[in-house]
Amino acid sequence: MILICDVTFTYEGEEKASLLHCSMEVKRGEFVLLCGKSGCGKTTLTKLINGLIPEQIPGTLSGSVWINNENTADQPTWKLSETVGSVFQNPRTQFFNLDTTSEIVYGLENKGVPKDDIMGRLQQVVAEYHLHTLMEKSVFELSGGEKQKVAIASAYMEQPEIYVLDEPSANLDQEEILRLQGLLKQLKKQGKTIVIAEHRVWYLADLLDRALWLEEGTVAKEWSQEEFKALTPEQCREWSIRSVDPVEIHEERVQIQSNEGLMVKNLAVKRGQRILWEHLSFTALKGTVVAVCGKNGAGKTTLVQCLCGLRKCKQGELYLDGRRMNRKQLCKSSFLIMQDVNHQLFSDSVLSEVMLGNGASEKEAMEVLDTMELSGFLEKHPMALSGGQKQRLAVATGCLSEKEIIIFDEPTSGLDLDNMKRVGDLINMLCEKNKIAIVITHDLEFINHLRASVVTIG
Amino acid sequence: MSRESSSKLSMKDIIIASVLGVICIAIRFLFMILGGILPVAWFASHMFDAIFIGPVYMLIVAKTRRTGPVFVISLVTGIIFISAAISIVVSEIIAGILAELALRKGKFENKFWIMISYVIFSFGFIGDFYLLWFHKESFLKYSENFMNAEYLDALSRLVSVPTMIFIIASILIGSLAGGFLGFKLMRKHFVKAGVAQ
Amino acid sequence: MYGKSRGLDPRIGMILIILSVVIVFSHTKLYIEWIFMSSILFLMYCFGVRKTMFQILAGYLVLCVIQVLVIPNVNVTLASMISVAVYFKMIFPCGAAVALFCATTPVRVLLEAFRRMHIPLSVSVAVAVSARYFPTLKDELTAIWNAMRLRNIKGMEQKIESMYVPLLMSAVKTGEELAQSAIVRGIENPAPKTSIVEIRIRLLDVLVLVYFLLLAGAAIWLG
Repeated sequence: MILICDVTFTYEGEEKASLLHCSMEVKRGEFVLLCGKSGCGKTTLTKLINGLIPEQIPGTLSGSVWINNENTADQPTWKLSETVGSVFQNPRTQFFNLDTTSEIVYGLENKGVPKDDIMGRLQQVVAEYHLHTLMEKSVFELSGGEKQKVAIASAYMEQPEIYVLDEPSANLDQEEILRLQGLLKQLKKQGKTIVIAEHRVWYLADLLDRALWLEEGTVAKEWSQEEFKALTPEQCREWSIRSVDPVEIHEERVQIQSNEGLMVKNLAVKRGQRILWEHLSFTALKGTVVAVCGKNGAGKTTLVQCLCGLRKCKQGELYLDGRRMNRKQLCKSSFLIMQDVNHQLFSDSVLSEVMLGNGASEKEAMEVLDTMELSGFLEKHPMALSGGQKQRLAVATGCLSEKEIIIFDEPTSGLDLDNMKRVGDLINMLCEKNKIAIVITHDLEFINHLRASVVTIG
Repeated sequence: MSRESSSKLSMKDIIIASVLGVICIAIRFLFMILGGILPVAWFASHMFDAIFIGPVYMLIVAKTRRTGPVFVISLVTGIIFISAAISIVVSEIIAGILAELALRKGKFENKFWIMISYVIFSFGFIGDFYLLWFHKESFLKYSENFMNAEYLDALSRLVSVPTMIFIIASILIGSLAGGFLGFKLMRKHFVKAGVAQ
Repeated sequence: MYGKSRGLDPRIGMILIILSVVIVFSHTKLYIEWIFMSSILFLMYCFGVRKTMFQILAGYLVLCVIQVLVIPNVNVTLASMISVAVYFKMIFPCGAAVALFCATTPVRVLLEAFRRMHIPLSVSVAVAVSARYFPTLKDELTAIWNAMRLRNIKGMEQKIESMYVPLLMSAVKTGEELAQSAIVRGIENPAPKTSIVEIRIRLLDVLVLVYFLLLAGAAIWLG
């Protein structure tokens, strides 16, 4: 069904090849997981299958890709999309249309399918996927899980033989991941061929036929379902794979009342007319980590904005070291590492970025950059760094800002095991410097790794 | 194998140009509203538009390097602001075509011709004032409804050729400033980061 | 039923906007302006877009107040400058027509109108992407602004540069990703596209069109 023959691909402007003499075969009806460290080439592989490479994405390609015994080089991407349905991971740009119904029928409309046929198929899919409540909604109002559901339904409308998914669980909470699992199970039962690139693999362990581990652009190891499920935690660590078993949060640490650190009392927040949550109280001591988790849509981002003083809370007080804080003071005392770090990088070199806005000397800046493993990139433009490097740069800026509260918004979204641990180490380092670290996350493995005290909202 | 440089505008080019075009239009909207609050600022708003849209324009040219996006953005701007004056559509279309020609002359690389095309592009919005200046009579007649002769005189003096020359000069200066700002940001950030060439 | 426009058929809506421009620039009588404004406000009321109606009404009244109360009572030079507000008031009905159009026409309906009118796909896509990106732009600006507030960025020049860089980088990335989303759903398919959106010119549309045509005629003849 899918045949990748000795493919080597280098993105334009990169020196290193993302795929190096990679070969892979997927039979009809197989469910294949692509895993590996960040940068191993699994996303590139998915883009080869749905045809975005090489037509839309500039780079040098050698080797061939065969879908259903036809060479993809001979087919334009839109033609391939009739056989290959794609589900991406970027919630912000996943949908081209403004409302769910338009998005779901978009593929068939583009094909020129008669209106009545589209309506018939739409009704079928709505019934099968229970989409009644999601129809005719603005795409901006959907939660992460709802978005994924609509995305899969959109692909399903055209009934492609092959489904290609790139980290669909990246922004989902536990409940939503289980629902995603259900949808994938359904597809598998229908005999579809599924290729899925993922870091969080536990929900796929029972579904996959084969798991391929990529390294440096080529398939280095392969497991069958039994072998994969039998991997021990040590072996997982060795291959930098996240847990293959479902994860639950371990015991929480006991909360100690103290005046030192951040104390949140009775916080309530409104978004528009709705009250998101009330009576939230917790303490975050200096030198400790607090993890805030909750369902998507529960208002975690709103909480973050309140903690930074960027937003007014409906009621409640925040105290730092016993002092009541107003919004302006909170702004001065907190730093936020955003989920999309691109929004907070302003300068044209790593060094100037880290010194922007604070009074740090060059020597201090170099020290911090050293601990963040960024010393080799001093003159590089921040936007040219990799995702992980950008994140570390933002953390470096936070450190140098001398602010006491550092908040992380979903720092491990889409990270493999090694990088997740690195973020954990970063946070522990901040704790050693006696900062207060607050992490908003739905990554349970990460929370366990941090051994943080947990606050649940919603 | 990189994309062949054909002269046809691809869907990707249109979409990227549209996204950046929205930013241009948002900037125009912003200064138009500010101009509404303090009307004399309306005359100056085009200059501020020209300054701030510079970097966006440079990025559009660098990312698409084809004939088409500038014209589409001019056209869409004209259509969106049609309620301000129908002449905007006309001036935008003319400016769009001329700007594209200038870009082609410089093969999308020559800085001199890119600057010229940006100056032309900035003038596309000038249709805004056309009706006020060329249909001054009917506007004055309309204002007769609530203002006496003294005011009308002053108004007549304000809406005049010298003011027009002043506005044209300000747009020229503004677009040159915007163009240079655009070049600077391109060099310092976008080229360095590898986003554009 | 999906796809029915809440208000006028979009093609009629577009004609209305053009008519409004014609009306506004072909008369100088106040009562015509009032009739025109009230007609549009009435349509807004009928189509249920009360909020927009009140906003437009409020804007218009503010401009009226400036015109009637403020200008006659300040000195001549200042008045002549503020009197450009009079120009705004004159073209306000056009803005009202546009507001009516935007409030009652979902983008998908507009795009279907384009398709029926055989408007080239590139223009259609440009409009669709613009509508799609606008709300995202707001979010981006908020996020960047928040990030700037948490940093101590000094100096006007630095501040401006700091707004541009993340915004434009993000815009380019968003554009590329949106393009990929569209292409992978077959937007480049050369086959003629269909749509499940239904638009039809109904009696109401014809009546409204005739009414405004008459109004335009009256404006030109009387004004």
